[in-house]
Amino acid sequence: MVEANSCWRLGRLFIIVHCPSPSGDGSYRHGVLVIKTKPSMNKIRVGIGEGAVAKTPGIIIAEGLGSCVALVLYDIKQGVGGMAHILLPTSSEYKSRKSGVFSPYLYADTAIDALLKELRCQNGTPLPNVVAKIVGGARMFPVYNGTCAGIGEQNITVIRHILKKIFIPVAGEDVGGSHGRSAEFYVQSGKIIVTALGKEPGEI
Amino acid sequence: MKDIELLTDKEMDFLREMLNIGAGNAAGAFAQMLNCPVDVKIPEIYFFPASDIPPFLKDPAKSFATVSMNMVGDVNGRLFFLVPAERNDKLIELVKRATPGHETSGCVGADPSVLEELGNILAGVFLVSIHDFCKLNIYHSVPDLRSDMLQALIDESIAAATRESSQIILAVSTFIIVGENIKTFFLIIPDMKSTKKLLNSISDARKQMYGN
Repeated sequence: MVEANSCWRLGRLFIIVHCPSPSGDGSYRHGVLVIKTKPSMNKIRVGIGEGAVAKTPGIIIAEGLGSCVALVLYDIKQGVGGMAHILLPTSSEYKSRKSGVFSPYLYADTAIDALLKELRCQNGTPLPNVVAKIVGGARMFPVYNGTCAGIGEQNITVIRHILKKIFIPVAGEDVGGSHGRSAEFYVQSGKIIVTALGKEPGEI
Repeated sequence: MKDIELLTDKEMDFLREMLNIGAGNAAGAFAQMLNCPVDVKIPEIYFFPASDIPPFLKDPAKSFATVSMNMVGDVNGRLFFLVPAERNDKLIELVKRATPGHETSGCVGADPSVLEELGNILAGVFLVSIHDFCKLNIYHSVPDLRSDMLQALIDESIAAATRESSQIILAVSTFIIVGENIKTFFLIIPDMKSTKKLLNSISDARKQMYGN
């Protein structure tokens, strides 16, 4: 049986869906869907582990990207695009833990899938000409030797690998380095304005 | 969801007591180092899983100065001492005004090492407090000073903590330095193996001290 709960947070409606795992072993899967709520609000902000989809002339923003990656998928002709704010490369470690709420947008491998499911033409068919753009994946502390050293590069590698496998080209990127970024994505033009402290804003 | 460890209300109070004493000692040490009056408000202590951190970062792109350190010993992990960038500038200005003999790097305005020294002291006193209360030996590594967007500075550690189901301790301490309120944030992020040990130590120490 599928259950759903909803809650308001930060001006957005979160719908949390629980359903039995298709493996039939009695475990549950959870998904989190974020819905833009205020029609007057043009900009949608996606925090860590969140994803959003918008039609032209929507704007989707991810801020404070260090090792995190903002992955954007869009189709200009269809006037629709989406962004995922990815933290970790693979969801396999979550699946073995089975604790906490699972958000597909948190992990590179499930985020791309989840976004593509949401990105549709008017008639509900998959988008014919999807391209990708990626921002982030920095290594903020070169000397840090903890378990997530280089996690930024790992995120980028997994994303590139999956996009290549499904024939989605990367039309623009601003990745790597050791500085934080914010990305502002304009669905209508497909452009992303990338800002970093102490630098001129760039456009990809 | 049994792998999310929680502290009971009594254990949270114990943690607060521990870190409150730490903050008090830090104020004393700051006053000595800066050669000016320093006081501290009772810190707000938060304890939560890594996945709950985003709501705390109300402005994830805001410029923050941070001193990051590693924790080694009975508990391993990461420490962050964070101050909003403009408050750090204020802090440096206060230091210069209060201590005319204080060495500067020679650049106009900023002596960035003030925050490093403060971060070093604060980490030291918090860890000493944890040692005194919980009998854990924890050392902190050489501090690394950075300035950047708040969330960008800590998201590698959020990634590690999410992956390892670690719980995070956040101490928000407002220091009053020469009458100026400087709000600071101290993050203690134990790694996977250490979270359980830390929680058990807190629980045991509390029972020993209070008998229940």
